Amino acid sequence: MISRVSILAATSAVAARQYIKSRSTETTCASLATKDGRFKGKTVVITGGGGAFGKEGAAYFCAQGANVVLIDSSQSSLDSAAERVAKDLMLENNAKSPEDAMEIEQSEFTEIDNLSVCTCDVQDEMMVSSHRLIHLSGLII
Amino acid sequence: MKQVFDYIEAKHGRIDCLWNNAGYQGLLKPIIDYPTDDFRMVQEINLVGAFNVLKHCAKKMAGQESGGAIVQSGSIAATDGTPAMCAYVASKAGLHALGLTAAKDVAPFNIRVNTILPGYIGPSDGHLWTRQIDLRTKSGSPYYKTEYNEEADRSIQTVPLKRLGNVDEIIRAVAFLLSDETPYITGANLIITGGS
Repeated sequence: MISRVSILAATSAVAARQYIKSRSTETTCASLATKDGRFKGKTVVITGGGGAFGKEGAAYFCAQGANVVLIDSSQSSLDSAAERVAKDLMLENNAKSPEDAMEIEQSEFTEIDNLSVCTCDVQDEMMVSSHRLIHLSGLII
Repeated sequence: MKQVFDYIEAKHGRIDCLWNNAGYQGLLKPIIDYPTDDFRMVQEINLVGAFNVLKHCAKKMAGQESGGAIVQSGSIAATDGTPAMCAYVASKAGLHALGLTAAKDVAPFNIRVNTILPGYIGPSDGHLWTRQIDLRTKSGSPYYKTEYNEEADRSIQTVPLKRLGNVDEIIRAVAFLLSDETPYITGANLIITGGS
């Protein structure tokens, strides 16, 4: 993993790309590293929940114990966000697969079961095409 | 959107926090070539859409004794006037202003509204950054280099901290503003740009 010093020196495009690459693992772990439950029991709604920011936010707030609701116009993006949350659970439980993670800590999945998604378009007040809960036990990564 | 928040309230009983984050960048073209249809669509999504979400969510929060906290995703592009992004810049400037007036309107209900203004962010897969640089090189704007590495270098050199931000740094700022640690911060536009 790239050091903090070299991150600060990342002035070239090549270094920037290396930096981005190096961050991928670190970013995945960070939402767990700061887990303190300060949003436990709170309902957090994120629009654009399937986007680059939204899915990382979902992972963070789920890790903090919130009931997270993601809203996005793309169902496939929402599915991707749910996979992202499941990935954190696997890391937290040191599991190689979602099935392993569930066997190790079923209770964690019960808590994260409160991740739900709404597919709708934020620009149209009336358009709510569908909504459904994603149960992580049903995810395939 | 009302139906969505009715659904959320029915499911969870309450709505404590909203990250009003959905947005669309639109095209990267100088204003004289910018299609009106795309300009209009960017305003619809980034401004009208955000307004609808904020309005319906705040209505629910207003009925709760504990109120709520809202964070909007703005952009430093709106205060910089970034070239070749007239639709996006205008929409985000509107969003910043929306946050200021909304913060006052909902303050009596103990609801806080703040806006983050990110700069160059490199998410875990690098998608936002690489796409942005690529679009700039092809925008036809004289402010951007036409070669990818040159434009990437030029962009990073404008950042005093000489690096991209990362998604974690955005999430932590959003969480800070949504948390109980900031009960007296509302109507703020928080710049997250590494100093640029």
